[in-house]
Amino acid sequence: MKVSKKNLPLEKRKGYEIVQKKLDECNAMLRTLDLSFLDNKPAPNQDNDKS
Amino acid sequence: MLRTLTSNRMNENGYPFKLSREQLYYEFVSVSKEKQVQKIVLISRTDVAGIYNLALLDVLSDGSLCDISETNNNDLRIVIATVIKIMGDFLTKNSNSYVIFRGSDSRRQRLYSIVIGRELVEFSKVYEVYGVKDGVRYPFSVNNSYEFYLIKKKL
Repeated sequence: MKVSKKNLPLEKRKGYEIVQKKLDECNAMLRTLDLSFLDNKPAPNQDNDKS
Repeated sequence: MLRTLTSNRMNENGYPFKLSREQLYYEFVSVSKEKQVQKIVLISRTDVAGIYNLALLDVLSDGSLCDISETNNNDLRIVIATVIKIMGDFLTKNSNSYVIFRGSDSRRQRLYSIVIGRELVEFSKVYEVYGVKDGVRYPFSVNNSYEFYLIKKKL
């Protein structure tokens, strides 16, 4: 019996490698991000950072 | 033209959508007289607990996934409204989490910035909206460009 490709799990479908690549890029960015906001520290004001 | 496409997203009717139980993704169908296009909003865990990556994907006729296809179904505003509703659904169910996303190309990135900018007043009533640039998270400002957008539901 042929399994429809539309029923395949997403990670097994063609094109998912692009999704994974972009997720990897997101994770790479997160490694550089100051994550102190996860402890509810307020974000800096960008307009005040332009000095 | 762009103003028409991007105004009042939070009040726009969206397509019906359902949450997959097997994977963390939502599905909906973009409908026009010409065609129907299945779309997926995939929400993936990142390496940081509490931050989830959001991606909007087209499911092509062979079942493959694509984030850069031009659907050309003349329903951009409905699609964006649907994605916003999905994001809201996810953040309501995961109230202490952040969703992070960016456009799959510079044009989409600019479009998302315009949509967020236009919706910021309404958005800010419900969500904390940030832009990420050079490793720093800033409150979203319409006058700045960002590498990623980061959104969290207000508690």
